[in-house]
Amino acid sequence: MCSDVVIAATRLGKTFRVFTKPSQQLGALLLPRRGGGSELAALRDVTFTVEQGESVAIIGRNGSGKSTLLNVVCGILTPTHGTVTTRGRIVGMLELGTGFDPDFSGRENARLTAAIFGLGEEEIAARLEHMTEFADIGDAIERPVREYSSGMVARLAFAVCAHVDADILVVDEILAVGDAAFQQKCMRFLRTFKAKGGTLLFVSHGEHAVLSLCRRALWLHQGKVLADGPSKEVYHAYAASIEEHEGMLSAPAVALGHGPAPVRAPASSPFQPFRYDPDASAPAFSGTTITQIDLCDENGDRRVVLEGGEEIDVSVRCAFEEPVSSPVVAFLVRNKLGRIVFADDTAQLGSAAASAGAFLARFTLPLPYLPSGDYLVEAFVFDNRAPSPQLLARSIDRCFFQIQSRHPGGGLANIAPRRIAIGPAEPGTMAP
Amino acid sequence: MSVLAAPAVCLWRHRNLARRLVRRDIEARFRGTVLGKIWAVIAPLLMLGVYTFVFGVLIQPQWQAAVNDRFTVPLIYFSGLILFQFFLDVFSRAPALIRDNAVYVKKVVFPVEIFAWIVVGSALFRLLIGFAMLVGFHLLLKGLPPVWLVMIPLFLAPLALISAGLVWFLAGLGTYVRDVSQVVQVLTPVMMFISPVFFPLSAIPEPTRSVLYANPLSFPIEAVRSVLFGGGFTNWSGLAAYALGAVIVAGLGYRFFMRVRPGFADVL
Repeated sequence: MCSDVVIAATRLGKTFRVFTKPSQQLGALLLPRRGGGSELAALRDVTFTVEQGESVAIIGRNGSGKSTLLNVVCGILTPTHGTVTTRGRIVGMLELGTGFDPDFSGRENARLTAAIFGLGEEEIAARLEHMTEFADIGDAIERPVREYSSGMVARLAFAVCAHVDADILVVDEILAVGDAAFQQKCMRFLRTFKAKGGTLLFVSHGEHAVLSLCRRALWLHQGKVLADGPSKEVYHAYAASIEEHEGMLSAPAVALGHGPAPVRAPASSPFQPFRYDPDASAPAFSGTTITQIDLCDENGDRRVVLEGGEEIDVSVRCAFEEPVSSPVVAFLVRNKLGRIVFADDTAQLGSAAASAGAFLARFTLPLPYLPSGDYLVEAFVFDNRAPSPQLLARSIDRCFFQIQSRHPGGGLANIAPRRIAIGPAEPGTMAP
Repeated sequence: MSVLAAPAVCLWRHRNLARRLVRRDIEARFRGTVLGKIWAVIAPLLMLGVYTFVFGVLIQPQWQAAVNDRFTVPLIYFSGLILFQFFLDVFSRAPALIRDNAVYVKKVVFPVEIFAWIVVGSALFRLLIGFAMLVGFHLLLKGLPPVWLVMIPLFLAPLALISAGLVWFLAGLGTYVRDVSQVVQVLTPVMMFISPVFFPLSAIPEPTRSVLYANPLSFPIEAVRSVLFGGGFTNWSGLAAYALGAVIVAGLGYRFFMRVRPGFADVL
């Protein structure tokens, strides 16, 4: 076996024996040969390996065995057949915050949860501050958890899981909680976790979450692995199967390669001369700070709720403590899942040195027709010098806006048709 | 051998977690009460007061004549009662232990076996408060307690071990068979009467006396009493037998629990 394999599942099967009485279950455990009860197979003959640093999405319809698989991998459920071996500290983010004690404060619960994940006293003390900072729920951290909203519970639970030094993270559709800013934070954390070599096992129904986090996907259907391969192909095959058969799927209509996907560089479009890593962190003392990001309409009024098609100004104000030879300001807009929806930068203007002091970049653009929801604006300031631009400052959670679309279309680009017509196809019967 | 050592190994491996959970368990009892932690002291104090009144003033029990001291008898009862209270604390929680903590079985990877130690640890804490009060009242009413006092931990250690073993057994069984809760409820008052709380075992005629010694509470209650009020402790062979029995009960209980544990997530 390859030494890099951190999860190895071999012919894994989980059969729930449905007993009419729990005492029968006890009998079956103590005298395994006796049998009894009817059987229900949640997992059948599941074999796969995950290497260190891989991110694997597990997709499938409800009841296909995804959660059972995660539970078995985590060690919460014991498999009926086959084996699963894991290497390193495995942290399951299955149902966030269910282990919290409602009468105890957020801080006490964070401590306890960290201890459950196997952290020692000193480690917990050292990390508690990072956890509370990440959860970002303010003074509520000292209040009993029973007073928390479900979003706050999820924030705290995620924050704890994020700071226990997991080698393997097992994540079950948790990005459905919290507001846009927090979801962003989670996605950012998961990306950083991946970048640091962490292994991720991820269940989601969201296409963007799957595709943006995972290169490889495992498609489960009725407890069996239907496909295992590059996430794009597997996901599309899965989506197609849902659309075509409306759940009547019996045999896979796709032939896909098995094994991990090849590592590919992210696709680059030809019109993207200025490239940067939006997840890189800025140096602590660069002398540059982004002081303000504003969204204004044509009248110069600041706006939070917007609609596609509006003419808007995105202005990024920053302050330089010392002159910058070639400043470039960039901004990007992300949706709730952290997908970049659109972006632009000032690199195309060429560069002119900036002196110390306040500095303003303004982008005037027609707002694309986007689906309703929350969006985040992130801003970056670079010094564009050879050989590569240097990140001076970034602001990632200061500005957000909301789209209230009156064109409920589908997909990422929520178009607003000029005209929609329907009727018999004979010429002349439809108004021009 | 490893079977017998397993309970201790389990405690040692998860000592940090266990310490934290015991603390939480103790605090949880007082959370939300008006008096808070004061209850840890008030409850045994009230108990001592009631027993002093009933057995020191109202009723003249059989020990009264032998001891001939209005205050000693309530203290003797109190020493037995705090041990019985320990038993009650532990066993009333045992059958539903896993069901009450289902979250730790179904949602996270958690060494559920340490819950037996948590229950025992939390009850030990209350027992120690009881002992502290016992010593305090001894100082107040009768002067310095005998130095033999330092032996008490020797009796409590096997009691804790035996209790953990029984918790493993009852909790493992109780998760599958809810009737265990009912049985324990019926047995609790029975235990009260067959434990030598209100009488010395020496007052019981022979075949019955040996049978009562099988009660895990009999030995520590008698031993504590002889240390504090009987002038000394000589029953070393009894202690050895009790300790050996405790190790075996704990080892077997742990083994049983670990055997039935894989099915918990499926029945909860």
